[in-house]
Amino acid sequence: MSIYRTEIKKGINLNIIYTDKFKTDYFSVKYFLPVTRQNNAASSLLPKVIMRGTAGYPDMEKISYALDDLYAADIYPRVSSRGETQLMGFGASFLKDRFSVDGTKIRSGVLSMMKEFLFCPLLDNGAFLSEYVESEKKQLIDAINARKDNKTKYAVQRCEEIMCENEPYGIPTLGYADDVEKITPKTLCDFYKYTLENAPCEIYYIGSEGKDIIEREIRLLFADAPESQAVSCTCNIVRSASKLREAVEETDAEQSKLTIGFRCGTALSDGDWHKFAVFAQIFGSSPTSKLFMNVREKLSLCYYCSLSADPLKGIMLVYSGIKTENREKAQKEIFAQLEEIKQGRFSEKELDNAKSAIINSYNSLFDSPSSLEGWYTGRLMAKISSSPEEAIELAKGVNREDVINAANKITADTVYFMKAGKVNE
Amino acid sequence: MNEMILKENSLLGEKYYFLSHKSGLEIYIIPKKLSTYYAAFAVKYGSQDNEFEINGSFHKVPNGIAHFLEHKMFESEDGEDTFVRFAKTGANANAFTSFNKTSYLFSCTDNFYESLEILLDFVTHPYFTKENVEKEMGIIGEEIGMMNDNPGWALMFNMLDGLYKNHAVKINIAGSEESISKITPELLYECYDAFYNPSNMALIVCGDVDAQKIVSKVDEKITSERRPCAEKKIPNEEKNSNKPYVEAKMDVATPMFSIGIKDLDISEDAHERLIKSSYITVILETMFGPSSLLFNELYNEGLINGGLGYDFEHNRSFSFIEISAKADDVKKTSERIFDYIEKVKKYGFGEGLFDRAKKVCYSQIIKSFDSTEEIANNVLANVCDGIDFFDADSAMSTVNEETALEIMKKLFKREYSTLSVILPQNKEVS
Repeated sequence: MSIYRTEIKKGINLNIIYTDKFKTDYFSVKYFLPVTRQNNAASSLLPKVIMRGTAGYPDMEKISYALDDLYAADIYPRVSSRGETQLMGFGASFLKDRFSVDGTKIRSGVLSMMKEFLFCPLLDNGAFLSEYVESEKKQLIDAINARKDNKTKYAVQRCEEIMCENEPYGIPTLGYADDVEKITPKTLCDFYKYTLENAPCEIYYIGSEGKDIIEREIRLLFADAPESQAVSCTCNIVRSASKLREAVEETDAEQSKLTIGFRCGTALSDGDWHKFAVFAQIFGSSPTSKLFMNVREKLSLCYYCSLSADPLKGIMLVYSGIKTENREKAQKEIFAQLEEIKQGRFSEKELDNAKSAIINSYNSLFDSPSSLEGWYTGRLMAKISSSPEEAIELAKGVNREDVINAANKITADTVYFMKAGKVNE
Repeated sequence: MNEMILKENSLLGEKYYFLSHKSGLEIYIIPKKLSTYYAAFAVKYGSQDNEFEINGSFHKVPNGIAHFLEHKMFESEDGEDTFVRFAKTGANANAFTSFNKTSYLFSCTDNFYESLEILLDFVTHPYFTKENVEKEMGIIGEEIGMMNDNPGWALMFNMLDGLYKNHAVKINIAGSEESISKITPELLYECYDAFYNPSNMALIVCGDVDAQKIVSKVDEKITSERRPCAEKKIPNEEKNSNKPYVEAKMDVATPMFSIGIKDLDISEDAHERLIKSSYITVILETMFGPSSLLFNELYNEGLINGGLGYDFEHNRSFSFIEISAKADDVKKTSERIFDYIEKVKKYGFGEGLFDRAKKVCYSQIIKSFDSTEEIANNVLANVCDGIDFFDADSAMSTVNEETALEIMKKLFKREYSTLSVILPQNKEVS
């Protein structure tokens, strides 16, 4: 599977991956902005306000009807943070034209809707409609406040925020309620215009239509779009922690959460991330990993003890849900298991199994258009160009020494404990 | 040997093979040219099956035992962890327990037949000891703790408690720390023998596979003959809900609520259940979907935060509808929903809205055939209720507005309903 990439206009690029495996086609448009308090708040709000109504479809009901008519085409706002870049835009997944029984041209309809969302906002005197902006601000602030509803996820987010409190990375994807509050219909419109003129834009089409046809359609879609200055988005990589920090917060819950943030000492842009990936697999990414086998299976301390890593930022979070009184035991065991790998105490079988799991997960990318898009977006941001096939070859070549070296580059930065109990309000 | 049946659905462009194996195992093979393979080995036994009869004797077992058993199936007599066996093939293995089924599964991109062998092997070889049961108490205790902190989970089980007086569907799938403390190796074997019988199980495989080769693997691994299954007890329920209102307080930002509606009108015929499910699907999409009058009104007026959720279960054992949302003013918002239901009963669904929703539901069936995992899980969910998922699109095509309105009027009655509410700690319901 190969990727075709071409510039549509300055700062705007089209990526096409041909595949005929699916009944649906995938299409997305994303703008890249540096993570800042203002950008995160505004970019979380903007696509939602746009989807409340456009010039041609002035309310949600009309938009929804139009999508129904396109055989339930799915067009949704997409906002995420990767490294220290905020990604904002829309994704679409829709049935191929051959499933249309009434002659509706589904893809061309989806592209017209995408044009509405990108370039035909419903404006009044150079500002978005105040009614929509205020309503979506309330929705967004509620979503920000509701992050704590999901304790498992929130504990990981809080650890990242505390660990990176002096870096852009520590700003939550959805932004802060205070910053959302300050947005006005006019400032949101200025942000919209700023984005079109300055943010690099990446377009993806993953489907079975020929590339010449798609390229022509996309050029047409972006015909009136301004060129983008493509301001660069960077990511500050902190390679080692200075000293171990501890933070405890109380929460009204039954289960406590232990999360430990580490600096990996490497990142995707360094070109040796595959070595870290094999390490991470052995350490905590699977039910045969050291963390699962010991913290869960041997000591029965938890239901989950796993890890996640951000390849762009070069950080790793180990997270678990435990009883408050088991905190010391769990923390000690997590560090002990890391030490095991640093000392080379893992078997050839563990190494081989880790590689098999990675190969399996990279091969699985081909069954999910949005995962494939995510793969290439990450590579683009790290300025490296490996396909999943190439990354599989790299993973196969990782040896015992590589894993030990990767483990020894890691330093613990922050231990965050979300302590369960009744909190007085 | 029984014959393999090929069934094709030309509209979807999909086909599957079915075989009723001599052991009683139902095998469904859905060939699909994707990179991933997905296999599920499922038992028609879940959290609700706590009372059953086998060989003339009656059994009542602790809540959460089906889920406990699922965890313990990963132990093996030779001490080699099942996940480690799968790790050699690179497969990603897992398992889950729901109300009416336990499913063991893996997905992989390579070494499919080796992984299939492991799957067939470990699910047919239980190994429970006092030590390994003891060890699991802590792990599942933390799983229960995690779920108890999940407001969406609490909202649903409180809703089920509001709906049902006797039915075990209301019992938390993992049980409680107290109930699982009564589980012993002997009890696990008792449940295993009662339900882990090929005649009560199904194998579903989706991917770029050779059907004959799969059947050969099953022949090798499963050599038992058909034997009788345990009889599950379906408790009596009254038509009306158990309680009209259930409230709990948790550490949440905004109040959330769920309206449940119990339905006792369940056909014994599987195909009739599929038809009714198709009707409920379209009715819910029409009344509560993104294009519905209700959703747009509630959202535009700022009464709901986020979306309007709607879902249903309709199987041989239980049937209910659930409508949920987050709202600052739960009382006002839920009353608006009840009023709207009465309006639809009186004036119908609204011009053209039903047909629009039907088209949406139909498109969603086609879309669900793009992933081996989604296909296998849809087939599985239906198989466990005796339904053929490949009939879903033709069942959907028979749905008409007039009948839908009749079904809707019978389903949506206030006395069948319950309102479950989760409030922030410092808030009273207004």
